[in-house]
Amino acid sequence: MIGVVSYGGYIPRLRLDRMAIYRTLGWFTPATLAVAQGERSVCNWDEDSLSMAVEASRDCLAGMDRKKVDALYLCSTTLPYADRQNAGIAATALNLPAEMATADITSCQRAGTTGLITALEAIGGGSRKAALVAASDRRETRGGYFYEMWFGDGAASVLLGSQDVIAEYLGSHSITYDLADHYRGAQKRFDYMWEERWVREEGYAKFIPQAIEGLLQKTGLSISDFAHVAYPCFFTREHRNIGKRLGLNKDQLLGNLHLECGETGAAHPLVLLVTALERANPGDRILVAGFGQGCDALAFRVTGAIRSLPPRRGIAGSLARKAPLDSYAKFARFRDLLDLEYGIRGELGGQTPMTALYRDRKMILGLMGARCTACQTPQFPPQPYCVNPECGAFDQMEEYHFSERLGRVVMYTGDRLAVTTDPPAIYGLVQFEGGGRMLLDFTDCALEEVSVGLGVRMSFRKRWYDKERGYTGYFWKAVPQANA
Amino acid sequence: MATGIKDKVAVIGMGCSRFGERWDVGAQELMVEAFQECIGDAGIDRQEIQAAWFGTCFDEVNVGKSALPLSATLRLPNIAVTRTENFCASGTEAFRGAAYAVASGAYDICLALGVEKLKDTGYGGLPNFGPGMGSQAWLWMPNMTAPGAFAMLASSYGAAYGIPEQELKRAMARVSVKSHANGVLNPKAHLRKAVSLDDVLNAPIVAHPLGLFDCCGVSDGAACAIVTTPEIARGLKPTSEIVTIKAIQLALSNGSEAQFGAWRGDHFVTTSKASARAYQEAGIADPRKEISMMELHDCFSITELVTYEDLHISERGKARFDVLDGFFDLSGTIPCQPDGGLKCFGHPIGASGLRMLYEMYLQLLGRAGERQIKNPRLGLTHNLGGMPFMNVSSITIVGRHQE
Amino acid sequence: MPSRDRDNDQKRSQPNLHQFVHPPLEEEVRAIGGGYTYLREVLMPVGDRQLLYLLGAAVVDTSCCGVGGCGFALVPGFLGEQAGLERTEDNGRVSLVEPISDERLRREITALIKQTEMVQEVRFWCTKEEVP
Repeated sequence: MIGVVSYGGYIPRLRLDRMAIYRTLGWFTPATLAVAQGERSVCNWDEDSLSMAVEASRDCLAGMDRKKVDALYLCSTTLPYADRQNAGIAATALNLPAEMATADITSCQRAGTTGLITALEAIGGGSRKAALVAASDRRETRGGYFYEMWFGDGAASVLLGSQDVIAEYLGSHSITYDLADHYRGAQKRFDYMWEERWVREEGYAKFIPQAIEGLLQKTGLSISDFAHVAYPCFFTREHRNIGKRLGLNKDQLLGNLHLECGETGAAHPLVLLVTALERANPGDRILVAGFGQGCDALAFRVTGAIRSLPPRRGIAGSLARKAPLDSYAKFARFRDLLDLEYGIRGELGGQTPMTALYRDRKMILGLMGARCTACQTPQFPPQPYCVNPECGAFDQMEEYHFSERLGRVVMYTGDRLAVTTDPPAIYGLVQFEGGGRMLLDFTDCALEEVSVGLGVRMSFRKRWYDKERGYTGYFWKAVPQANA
Repeated sequence: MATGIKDKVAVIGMGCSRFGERWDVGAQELMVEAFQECIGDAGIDRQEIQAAWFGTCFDEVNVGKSALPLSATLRLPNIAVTRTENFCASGTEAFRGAAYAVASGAYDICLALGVEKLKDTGYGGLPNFGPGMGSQAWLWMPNMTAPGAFAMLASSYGAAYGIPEQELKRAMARVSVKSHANGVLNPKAHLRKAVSLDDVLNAPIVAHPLGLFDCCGVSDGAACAIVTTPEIARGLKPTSEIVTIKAIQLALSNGSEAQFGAWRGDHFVTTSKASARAYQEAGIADPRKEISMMELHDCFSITELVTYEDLHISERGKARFDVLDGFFDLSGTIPCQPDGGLKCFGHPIGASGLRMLYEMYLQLLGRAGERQIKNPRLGLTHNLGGMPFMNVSSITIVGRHQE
Repeated sequence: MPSRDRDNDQKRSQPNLHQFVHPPLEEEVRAIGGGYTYLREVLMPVGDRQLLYLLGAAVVDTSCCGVGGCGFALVPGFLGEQAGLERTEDNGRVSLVEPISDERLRREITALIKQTEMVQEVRFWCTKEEVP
């Protein structure tokens, strides 16, 4: 039996009330009121597709043996690098072994389901044993149109394999048509969209049923055999209509999450799959489809092993963990739709040294420190002499991971002078449980929520962007945990 | 066994420029302003200087690298000149270089000069740390500012001793009010304005919990000293009081505060050690009784408050009671920042350490005018460069020469 | 030892009312790192009472580490009777106010003020009784 072994989800904490968009830009595009209900998820200013993929994957790998993962497929249409493997950055951040296959699967909205099928086929063929598929998107839109309302940011991750399978893979079916409902030329920042009515009628309404029909024929199942059917379609009415045409009842069809977070691009089929897994009972069958220049459809059957999967945040937990983004102006700044003056002192000239970054890749991307084998003191950054004044041993360090450990605030501040996109800059000294401490930026919190002694968890974040050279740098930040 | 340099080196001349936003002058003019006063005070000829040390911090926006700017500006007679840079202790390091050279017998007369010209950058404040600043720490360390880094200390100091935020803020405010009151009396200060406790307490936050009056500013300035042996000093100034160096000590962090678990963020590890060593070098047994006056590195009010404890003058966790008692006021037991401190002078980094010594020197010679402290015997200066958890701390003690 | 800054506090007429000397508007209070200015006074109805706050602007332009600033509100408290009628010796206006020390009420008032003013900070005036 092969199939899903584990899952994880990440929807960013910030939500923008769609009416906030409408209140700012409705004078320009009054028609958007029609979809201005609910809220969309928004990356914090220090998040992007890659950082979200890492967060979803950490969630997915909770309780799993990372050393056994032998493939990582990163699926997204909004990855930071056009040429530098993004999956390789994610694998380093996740402290996965170097002896593995990695690939970026991109340039189509169904990249996520394509990643799933590719991984499942590799496992079915025996060439891979444990493949992690992470799908993530943070789609860029110009201000003042429907897409800004429809889209949300998010990621989901699924670990596939042949042991402790929680959802058995039953088969898949794919169709391909070069229907460009939208396209984004290389070097272009925004999509170019064709008329929505045509996309609905000739695209969604035809491809999704066709792919599902093909899957049913292949597997010998009927639509009523499925407890959960999930496919993306941000046209909410059309989403329901397709369900009716397929003969789905209300309980079978998973909502498109428009009200909760919006459509998360290439991640959306996986976000929906994780949602289905969160709700499923052993024996339930799940059908999930991805749409984009055709359609992929996959079928799974949930096993009893799902009951023993350790608890995780998932999509449900991500949706519950939320904070309002208080203005459209912040949204616009976070997404670089609004160019603000950062002042001369904000100019961070100079290039990032690739040599140093490669040498210290485990430390910078993976938050790898060291532990002195003489006195057992964890320390960061790793250095030749032990930091413990009572020890001082030379060259007796072993690798030590900090990223999954809980820390506590030793000292902190909210700094109004430090140059940052979302002042005040909150940072502090964090002491980790089990030892070791480091200075860290804090994120996803308000200053009033922070106090000395408060617990923090680590989160992988975008740290700087060198616009001139197109370089995006990453590191870890501390996220204060209420009641921790 | 080394015993230090107590009474082996005398200060025979000092000078200090006016501090401020000196749009009118560059680093050269600042150096000359301080030097002309100093050489006049010393009563020697420029050609008699045998070696010099030059303290500056930000060469990128200031005078550039090497000690050539000092040698060329003063047209020194092709002597040895060395540039020192050690964050906020850069000026004190220049002084230490000159003092050690005399104490060793290598030279008879040496010059130490510190200068920083910061107002040619196009923005307020010191340059941001980032690529091109040497270390790779910017790849992962928070983009901290100095107010933010010291504000963190306030959070952990308050937590360690269970001091409510409002109580700590009030003690810090009292520290500022005292320094501003002193600065009013000083014509060389950048800001000469008394402030009320209300003005300070009502001021908005710069970095939580530090308010506007808890933070120092940037300015341009220069200060210098000429040192020699006590014998030569006596020959040059047969009738006047001679000031000699009692101790110079530095202590630098080794990473344990920021990377090891023991430190609670409630004190300066370095200052505590440097001051203990300085007292030993100077033969001081009870600093609370023996030190007459101090110029501390009051870059932030919390720094000054916590430093009282690390100088072993106030009890741990209780400096605020001394502050509120007026112990450090100009009229108090150990006046602190009699010249107004960094709060009134700003902080041209390379100059600050020598500016502090200049005030101690004036006070010891009875030349401090309206600020004059009655009959001071020993004066202490302190610099702290870097951040509370990773810093350079220096202590200098000067006093009347006892023959 | 308490500060001697607020001799006026000694003259308070009721246990929880304190004399607040209105600071001048449009006059910069200068520190070495920057300065702040009170722009206007606001009376905000809260329930059946009048809350006094001052809107201020701070600019941090000569600090050691960059340029910044903020908008802030200083809240002396609920206004008592005789607001602004008394005068100090140098003609400063004096009001009797009931300062706000309750943490929950402070949070509520902070939220109320932030709804109407773009301020990054709401400060509550403290009487000298809060001195240790």
